[in-house]
Amino acid sequence: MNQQHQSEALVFGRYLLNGIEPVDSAVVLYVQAMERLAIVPSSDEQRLLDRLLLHPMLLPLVDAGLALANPRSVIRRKLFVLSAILETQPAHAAVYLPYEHSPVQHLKAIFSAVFAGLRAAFGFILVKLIA
Amino acid sequence: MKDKLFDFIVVGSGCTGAMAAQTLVEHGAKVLMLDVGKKDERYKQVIPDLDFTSIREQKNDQHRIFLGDDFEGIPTPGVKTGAQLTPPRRYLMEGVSRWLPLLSDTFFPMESLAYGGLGGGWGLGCCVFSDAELQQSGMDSQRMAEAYQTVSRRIGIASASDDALPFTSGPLKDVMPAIEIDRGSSRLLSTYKKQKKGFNSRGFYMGKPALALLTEDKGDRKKLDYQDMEFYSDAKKSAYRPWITVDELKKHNNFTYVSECLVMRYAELGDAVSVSGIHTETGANIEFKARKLLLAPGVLGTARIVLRSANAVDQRLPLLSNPYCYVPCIQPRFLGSAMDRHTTGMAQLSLFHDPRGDQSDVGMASIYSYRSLMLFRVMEQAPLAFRDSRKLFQYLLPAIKIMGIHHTEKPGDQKYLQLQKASTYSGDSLKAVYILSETENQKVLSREQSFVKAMRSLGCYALSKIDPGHGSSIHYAGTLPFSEKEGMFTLAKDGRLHGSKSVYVADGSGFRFLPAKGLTLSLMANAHAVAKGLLNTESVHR
Ligand SMILES: Cc1cc2nc3c(=O)[nH]c(=O)nc-3n(C[C@H](O)[C@H](O)[C@H](O)COP(=O)(O)OP(=O)(O)OC[C@H]3O[C@@H](n4cnc5c(N)ncnc54)[C@H](O)[C@@H]3O)c2cc1C
Repeated sequence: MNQQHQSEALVFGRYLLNGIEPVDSAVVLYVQAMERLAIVPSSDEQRLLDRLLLHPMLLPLVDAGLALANPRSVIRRKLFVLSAILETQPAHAAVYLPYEHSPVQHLKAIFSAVFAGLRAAFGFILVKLIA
Repeated sequence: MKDKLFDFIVVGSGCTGAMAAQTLVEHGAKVLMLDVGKKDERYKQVIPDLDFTSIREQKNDQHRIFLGDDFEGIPTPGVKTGAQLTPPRRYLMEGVSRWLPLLSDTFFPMESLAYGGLGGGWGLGCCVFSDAELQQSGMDSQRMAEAYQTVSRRIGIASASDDALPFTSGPLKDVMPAIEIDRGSSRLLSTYKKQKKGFNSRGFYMGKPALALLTEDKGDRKKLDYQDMEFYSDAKKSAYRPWITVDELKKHNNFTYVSECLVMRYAELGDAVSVSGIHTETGANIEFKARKLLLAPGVLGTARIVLRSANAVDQRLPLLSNPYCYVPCIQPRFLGSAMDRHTTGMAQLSLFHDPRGDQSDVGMASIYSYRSLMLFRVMEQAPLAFRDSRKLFQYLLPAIKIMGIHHTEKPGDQKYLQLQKASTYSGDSLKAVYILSETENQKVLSREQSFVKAMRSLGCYALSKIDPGHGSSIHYAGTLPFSEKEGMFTLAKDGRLHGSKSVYVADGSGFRFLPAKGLTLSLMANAHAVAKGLLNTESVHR
């Protein structure tokens, strides 16, 4: 199995699932998808990718920044593909399927939305600086 | 078979070809159907007989149906056409880029070479055109009235006796009870009912849609089981698909179906017509003869065949396609709630805008809930980090309604097709130009705003507007308009191509106007009427 893609699946997976380890089947599918869809980063993107694998805590900001600055970037595409794969794993279904929110969860959701907006703004600046 | 003389050759197995062929076959005529006929051989068997949520919670190999074996269900950035198709429906577009070349910067249609045509994935929305709409389209109301009844009985339509009725199934008899709708949609409908007077005074009417979706068993077709898997599976045949009709026709001795045959052109030979094409697997030339030819390969397909047969390179044909956009809306009351496990992904509600009150210029919005097309398709649209958008959409999803807005459509100078020489397998390619005039654009925008306002009054707020590009309505017509005068590249009322003796067109090429309501029920009714008219001509030998 392609080591680089495997590491991407694990690091990106933990990020997308809020720290939960992605199931093995998702990692296998991600590696297959990268080969079939031929998503190849440019040398600049590869450098950023390597940095993100070393410093995963940058992922939320870089992802958010790219969403505004360069939504079609290879890194966004890779995250998108993995997110789609994770959505089809029964083990992770609960984090994708809607559920009845308690009043506290409603509040949490509203805060998350506010933070998401802030993250996008900071991420945008960060991505511009990196570029 | 090459030397056999059939009564009729029908080109295409889509909604129009299937309906026309059924009428002819039931009357004993010898019919040959020529089709390319691509099928889904891969996914049909792997879709479990479970509801969407259970599949998501239980099935380890669900990625095969939701993403596809080659991940073809993951949308490619920038691809406009067919992005909404799920892996089990991708076969609808198989072979199209190779065999149906089209050049355009302004028009992005969806065509099909599938067994059952685009009808293999259509949204099932059925509307009877009003007399005013039929008149503008160039069709005879009386002839169509009988045809609508026949088609409705054949395909099975479910609709409600509510405010939408005059715009949907109107005069149709024998319709089935309407589908059950989800909580969010019921809420919209009850709010509408409370404010009905105000809505009606502004020309808005809301109700359940008329759908070619069974709510009662019909022969071997089973009633809808609300598994929310309509975008993937047809195992129980609750939704009408044209291949259901063709499968039935194959049981008749007087019907022959030939697949992998791409019809290229025809030539009239006295009282007969010779049809030539290419075998799509071997590349061999093939030829068949019949007394009459019925073209039903879809409007763009018919344009190719007719222009090629007339050697009319560079001839312009008018083109109609309903302007279309969709508007994701939010119903705050349902934020963060659970979703009904048993529902349908098809349209939940129809909202009509008839400002003149005479059904001559009606705009239509179909309202959908969103779930079975998966979160990832919407997450991609949000300008947020994927982890944030996952959380956000998990919260938003039960409150999301997608409003698809269709507009009426008339011919214009900058809307046309041409066959041009090109270095393709056929030596030509269809060129499409589609630009709305300033006045048309204004009208479209103002109507969209009216719909958005109406939804707001119902407690449902627009998040954005998505313009998927011209041609995305997948409603095409008007290339060979009906005309009383014998003129080149026009049709007589009975579907005969003017200037020909034996060539008839059964698809929507003749419609001179496109109401905003879904055209397919009318396409099928017209196809039946054309076939029925043909049976009355003396040249049919039985
Ligand atoms: C996702 C989706 C949703 C839709 N929703 C609705 C809706 O809710 N309401 C509505 O009214 N309409 C809807 N439509 C539109 C509807 O599907 C079409 O109007 C209708 O199916 C057109 O039927 P047709 O027979 O004219 O042509 P097609 O469906 O295009 O069929 C053409 C047939 O001809 C064959 N063919 C083509 N070229 C050749 C050739 N050269 N030689 C041999 N065979 C050939 C093909 O194999 C095919 O069988 C929708 C369409 C899609 C894709």
